[in-house]
Amino acid sequence: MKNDILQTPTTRREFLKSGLGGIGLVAFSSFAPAFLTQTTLANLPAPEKDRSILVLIQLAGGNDGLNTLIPFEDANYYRLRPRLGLRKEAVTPITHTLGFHKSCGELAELHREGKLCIIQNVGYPNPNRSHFRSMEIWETGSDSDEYLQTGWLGRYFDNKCDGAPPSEEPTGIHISNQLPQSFHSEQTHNLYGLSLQRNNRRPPVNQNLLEELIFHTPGDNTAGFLKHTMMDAMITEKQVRKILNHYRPAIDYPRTPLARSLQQVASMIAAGMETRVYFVSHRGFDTHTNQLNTHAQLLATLSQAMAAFQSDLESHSLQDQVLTMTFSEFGRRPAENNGRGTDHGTAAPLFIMGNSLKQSQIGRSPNLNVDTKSDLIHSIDFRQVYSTLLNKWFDCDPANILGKKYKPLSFI
Amino acid sequence: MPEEYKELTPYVAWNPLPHSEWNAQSASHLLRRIGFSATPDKTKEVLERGLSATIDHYFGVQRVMPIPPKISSARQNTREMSQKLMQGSPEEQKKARREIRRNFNEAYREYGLNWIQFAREDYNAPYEKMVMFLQDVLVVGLPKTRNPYWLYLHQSLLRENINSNFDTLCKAVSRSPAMIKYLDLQQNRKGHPNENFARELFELFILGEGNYTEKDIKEAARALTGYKIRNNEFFFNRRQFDDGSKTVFNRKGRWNGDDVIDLALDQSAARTFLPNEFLHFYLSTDVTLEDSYLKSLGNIWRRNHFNLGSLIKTVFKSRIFFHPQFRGNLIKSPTHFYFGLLQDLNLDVAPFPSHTLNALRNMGQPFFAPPNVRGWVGGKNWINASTLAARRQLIESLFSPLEEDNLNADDYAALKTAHRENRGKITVTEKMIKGIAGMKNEAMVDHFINYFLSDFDNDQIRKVLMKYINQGSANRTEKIRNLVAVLLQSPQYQLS
Repeated sequence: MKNDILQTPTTRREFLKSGLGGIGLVAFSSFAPAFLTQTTLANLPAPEKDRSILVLIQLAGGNDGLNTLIPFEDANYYRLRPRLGLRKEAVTPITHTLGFHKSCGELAELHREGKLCIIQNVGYPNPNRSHFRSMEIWETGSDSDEYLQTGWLGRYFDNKCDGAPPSEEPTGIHISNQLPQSFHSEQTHNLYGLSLQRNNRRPPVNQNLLEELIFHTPGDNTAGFLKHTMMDAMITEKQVRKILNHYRPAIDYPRTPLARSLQQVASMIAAGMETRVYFVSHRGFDTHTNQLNTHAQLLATLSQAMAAFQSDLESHSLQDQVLTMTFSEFGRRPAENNGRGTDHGTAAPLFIMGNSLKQSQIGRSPNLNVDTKSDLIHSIDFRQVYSTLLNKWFDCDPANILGKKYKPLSFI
Repeated sequence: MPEEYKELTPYVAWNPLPHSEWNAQSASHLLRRIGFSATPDKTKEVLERGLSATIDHYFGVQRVMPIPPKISSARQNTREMSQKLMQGSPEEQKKARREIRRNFNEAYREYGLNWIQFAREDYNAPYEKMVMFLQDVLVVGLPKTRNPYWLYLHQSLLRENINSNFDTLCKAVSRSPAMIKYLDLQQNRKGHPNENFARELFELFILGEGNYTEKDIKEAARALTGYKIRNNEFFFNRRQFDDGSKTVFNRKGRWNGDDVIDLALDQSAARTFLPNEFLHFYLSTDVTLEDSYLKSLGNIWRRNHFNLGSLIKTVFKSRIFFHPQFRGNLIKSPTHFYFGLLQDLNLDVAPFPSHTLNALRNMGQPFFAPPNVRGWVGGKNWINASTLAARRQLIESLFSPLEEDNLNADDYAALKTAHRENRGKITVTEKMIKGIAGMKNEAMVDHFINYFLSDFDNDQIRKVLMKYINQGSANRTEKIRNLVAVLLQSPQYQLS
């Protein structure tokens, strides 16, 4: 090893790579605190001020697309949904045939202002109706008969971050108790997770001794994974604690977990963190029974939280930097079931929210001239959406990440 | 990672561990994996008892967890409230609904605490860990089930059937009110199928994704019609049962729900699906054994009529279970971490439901409330910045004196009772630390490393701890306390 004791690493990454082989314990202990303090300066100017950021909102459970965007002039819709079908009066129309669920007033308004693009009938061939498998397909960007270990964003991190100047800050941040599969990658990246619960954000005690133990953990296998995760977490935690504690949103967010998550995202973006991807989750969409009220609640939460987030970003003049996208593992069956609910289906609409959209609607409402046992046939592959984002928003070659070419869309 | 386990052939892998390899290291590995900790005393005891007798000791005797009092009373209360819900005025209905929610919530909290106390006991720990495994396959959860009495029934049913054949267990589970509610089986009626349960039965309980067709599910759902809950019990409604002919896995007949379970277990995928889940839970989350190894185990299991007790014995006595590749590298689940801490530190469970249940929730494993029907995936998924912070916080709370003035009246009373019953030792006290402070530094550090960590190469850790304990002149008790508290936060202690 060519470790030179005088050549102290200047970044966390170099520090890790140096493996401590040449740095004695004494040198290390006097060195670590300063190194850690340096990385907590949240207000350092970011290397790219106009970097583009993607925020994903996962609608977990399978959102009922047909009761989100209602084709209220389609007799087939009411034939398939005698009890769940929403009447024209209960819909906020955006065209003469299509309207938002009345809980989505804010989304309808954003759409009118050109800040929300509806992409209709998104899915993939040979759809799988298992929550996990279908979510896995969406998150890994695979075909329905292909099993990938890495997520589409994880592969983006692998591609983009390799060779890029090292950043002290997380590449991706998720606000959920588990690391989303979208973030799974070949290489280890600094990925940070905030839990959905309110954390006690007091600094931990005995930090120095713990840091030493962590640095002296062998860096391979599972122990190595723990070592890296713990170290990244400790560094980021200091920074994030400071940001969250000091953030003053420009507007009042609704008091829902989703809105709180998005407020936290806004605070980190406003603090100039270099993080490019944020992932938040909104769950409960698996509406097999008595779905009318539940679904209305879920959509209201979504609509209000998204609108608050967008307006907060605008007040901080950050709207040009951020795109927000919703996605769900599948839509639901066109026909309602016998329990005033809907079963697992296939295609559904998704939303892109942002300030620089070129289109406000892509694709048409699905063809509902089907029998009660049938499913929707998707018209846009979700990987066309990914491909467009990777290419035009993140400026990288989507074929490297998605494995093949998909016909791009033109919403940005 | 090189797949070293392949030095054992698929056949030899499941043979019992040779007697010559039964030593203190294997005994502590066994204890850490089937239970939550391996203190030197317990390791010695198990080493002397022997492998086979240890398995029998922990799994051979049926355990029964008494019904928590508030679960009992909530059940009673709910019946009265339901009357009001049906007949009362809108105002009374609203009140009744609130009352039910409150009772359920309190009952759930007491149940959670009682179970934690029950499962933390050394003698029950491996048995209850197995219950947790089954709970993680045959998943139900609080948010949708809502009724904690049903959760209790469900867990009791798993506990009763730990040594049953898997088909018996699956059939019992299909009649479990919690499951019927969780997977919408009540809505599955003749002519109006709801496929939720049928799908998960194949995908998550018996066969795994890809081992059935959409048509199998549709047809199986028809066979599973008529399942209802009445008075907190399973009830078969013959009039809603679809008695017609169904074709499931290419076999045609007027199948009922139990038939469908038998048909699924006849599929070859059934032999390896549950064993593979079992191995992911107990052996390695990262490594999936090669097909030939799984098939070999699956065949043994089938020859034993899918008996769960036989699966336990085969795996926990097997050579592969003790293979060096699988030692000390399984990430502890939050429950494992918590119970292991209490056992290692010889502490009682704090008798405060919110304190105890929140610790598990913050670490990412709320009691009986998995994220979805797949249960917890485990392994690296347990670990992220916020769950790590919660693990550290738990340790700090176990090492900080309890502030009795801050307890509410209920918690205070619970603490007094616990003290009276001699189970009120809930934090590490100065007195406990002073007991060890007389040891020489070197011996003490060695003692802690041997006590708390699996056998790794711990030289570097030893150096760091020695430096810490030797330097400065601060309060020695305080330093020992810090040293142990930090050691328990280290990457190594998160591994089993």
